[in-house]
Amino acid sequence: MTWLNTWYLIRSAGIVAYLLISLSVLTGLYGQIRKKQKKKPGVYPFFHDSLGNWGLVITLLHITLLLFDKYQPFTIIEVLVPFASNYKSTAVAFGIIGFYFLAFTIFTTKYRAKMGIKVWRKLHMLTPLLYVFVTIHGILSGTDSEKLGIFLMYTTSLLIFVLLLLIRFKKPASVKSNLTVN
Amino acid sequence: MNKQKLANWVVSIGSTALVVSIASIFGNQVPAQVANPNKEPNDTNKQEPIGPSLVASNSNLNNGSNVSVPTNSDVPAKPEANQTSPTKSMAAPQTQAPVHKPVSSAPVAPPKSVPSTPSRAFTPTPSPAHVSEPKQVHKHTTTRAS
Repeated sequence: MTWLNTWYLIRSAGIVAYLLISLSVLTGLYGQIRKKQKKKPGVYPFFHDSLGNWGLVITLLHITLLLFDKYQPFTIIEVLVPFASNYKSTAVAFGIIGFYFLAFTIFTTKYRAKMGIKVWRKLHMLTPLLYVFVTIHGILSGTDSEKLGIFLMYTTSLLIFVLLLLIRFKKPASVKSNLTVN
Repeated sequence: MNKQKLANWVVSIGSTALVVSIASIFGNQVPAQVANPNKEPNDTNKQEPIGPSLVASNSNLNNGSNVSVPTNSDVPAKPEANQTSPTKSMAAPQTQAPVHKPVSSAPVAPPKSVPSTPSRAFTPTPSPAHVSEPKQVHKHTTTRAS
């Protein structure tokens, strides 16, 4: 049962957590683009929520396992306080901040009705920052970043993210023409 | 079953399966790396010339100046040191973790090579023990790279 080894589970949980979080962000952006184009949202919103929720669950697994690893042990302070870790403190700090960001995003989404949709939407617009944080954390602190499969995962995800952001925030043609006229 | 529940099931099962399968892939990569240090160093047909560094280290040993310093033929430890290239330094400590764990749990490899190496350590002429050691180093790096 080699997969039960803590170190392998930490790495795999980190990779899967990144995959889920990035897919959640990408499906969210894609859903927004469809909404902007006045198309039916389809199943994307459901997957967007589930991917985010399970991204948090797997991230918690990733963090918890770090406390039990014997080779590179982390204390509870090191996994919860940014820059407290001696091991790649900046890269780890990005991961910790990303984790708080993710937890905050999911928490606010659960209680969006109570806090008001407008406020929630403004807060939710910051989510691309979460993606940036976890991507930096994954690339800099991930020990498998140089493996081809993992490298392709980061680059593909980043390319799609940039592309979707450009489409999402691209101004409509009518607005553009108005701006040039004025 | 509504769409939200279906999405939850798909994502939960998929993510759990991914965590386990990726962990098992990492786990399966290790035995190949560990198996190499135990490989029999008796392949005399593919002898490689001894590098200047080895000769230098032998002379050091003869002088008794630094007997414990590992040479380029210290097979089990060296490949891992070689694997940490300057470009890979970011990933070094943890990348080695899965490799270290089995190796440290089985420090059998260094003693195995030691009995065959005394002649190498104290005589200037290459013994058959020299032969496969550089090759082993090479093999380590190749398996590591994969």
